Amino acid sequence: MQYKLIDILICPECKNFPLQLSVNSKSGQIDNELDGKARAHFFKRFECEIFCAFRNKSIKDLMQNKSKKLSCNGCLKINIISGHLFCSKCRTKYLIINGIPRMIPKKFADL
Amino acid sequence: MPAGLGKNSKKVYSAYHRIIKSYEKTNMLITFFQVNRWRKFIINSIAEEIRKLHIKRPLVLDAGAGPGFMGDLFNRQIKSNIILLDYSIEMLENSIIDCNKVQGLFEALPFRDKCFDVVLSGFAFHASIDMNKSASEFARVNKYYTGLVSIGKSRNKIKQKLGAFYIYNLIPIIARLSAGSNYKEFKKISEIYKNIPNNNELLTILKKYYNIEIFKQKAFDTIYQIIAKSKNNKK
Repeated sequence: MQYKLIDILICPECKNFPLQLSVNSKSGQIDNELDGKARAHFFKRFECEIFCAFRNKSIKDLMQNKSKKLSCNGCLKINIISGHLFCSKCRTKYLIINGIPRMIPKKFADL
Repeated sequence: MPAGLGKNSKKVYSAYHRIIKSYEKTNMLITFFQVNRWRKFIINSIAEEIRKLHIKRPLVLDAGAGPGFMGDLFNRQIKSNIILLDYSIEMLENSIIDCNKVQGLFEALPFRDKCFDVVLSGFAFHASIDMNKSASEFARVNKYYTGLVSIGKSRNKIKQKLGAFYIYNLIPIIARLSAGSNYKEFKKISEIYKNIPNNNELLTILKKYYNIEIFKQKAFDTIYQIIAKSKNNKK
């Protein structure tokens, strides 16, 4: 899964957003260099709407700090293989296994 | 009792796990090769509307995606960000498109409000545990259009009996050709037909959350195609 998925995922139990991401393993290269294309991309708009999980910051905060080197293109090349998502409100943990977050509420876990 | 599979979901979901390899082949046979035509009607109609809205790379949820046939067809029409959602990990791991995947349930979609431009569901909505809750969740996450193609039940008693005869007696025979010894799993999936509301009752459920744009029935009304516009969207 890509980091940008966190921008739309909520806790299926209590609908809390954003979920806290913890990554165990990932694949792909982090592109720190900001090339012309990426810069144009950045100033146009972010890939995410509300929350950037890659930088663990809200888009609002990132917009206020445009001077920082940012590249959504770099983030999109990374795939999270394993880890977990944690809901700070209801304290539920959702595992990410083989790149797929398992977002099943507890009461349906035995289906 | 809510419309949907309810407690029978366990039996049906475990059957889905066992038929992954023969799933599409059997679907083709039991629908007399119409399955893709029915899917494409939904895809093409929604793609046309999305083009009119000038949305660049729409965010699309393929709910109950299986291997992602609906998402794949839509992506061929309009380059999109597709998210596949299914309860079956095996189905997601065998998906035909490279995109983000999430294991989840219709009744508790793990997505924030109005984040998807399009919600698609091909031959999956009938497997809802609670259709009312699923419909409300689909509408909650959807900004513009939802497209459903699924197993339905006619309001007409004669058509209902014809549909039941085909589903309970003929489908297991046809499934033997494509699924071999797993044909028995298709019998379990037939449970769905017992539990689903008739198409008119389904429309009543959907109308609570959607404005229905297109509603079509096929094959003695055992298949329905619905395009619905989420209520409260501005465009």
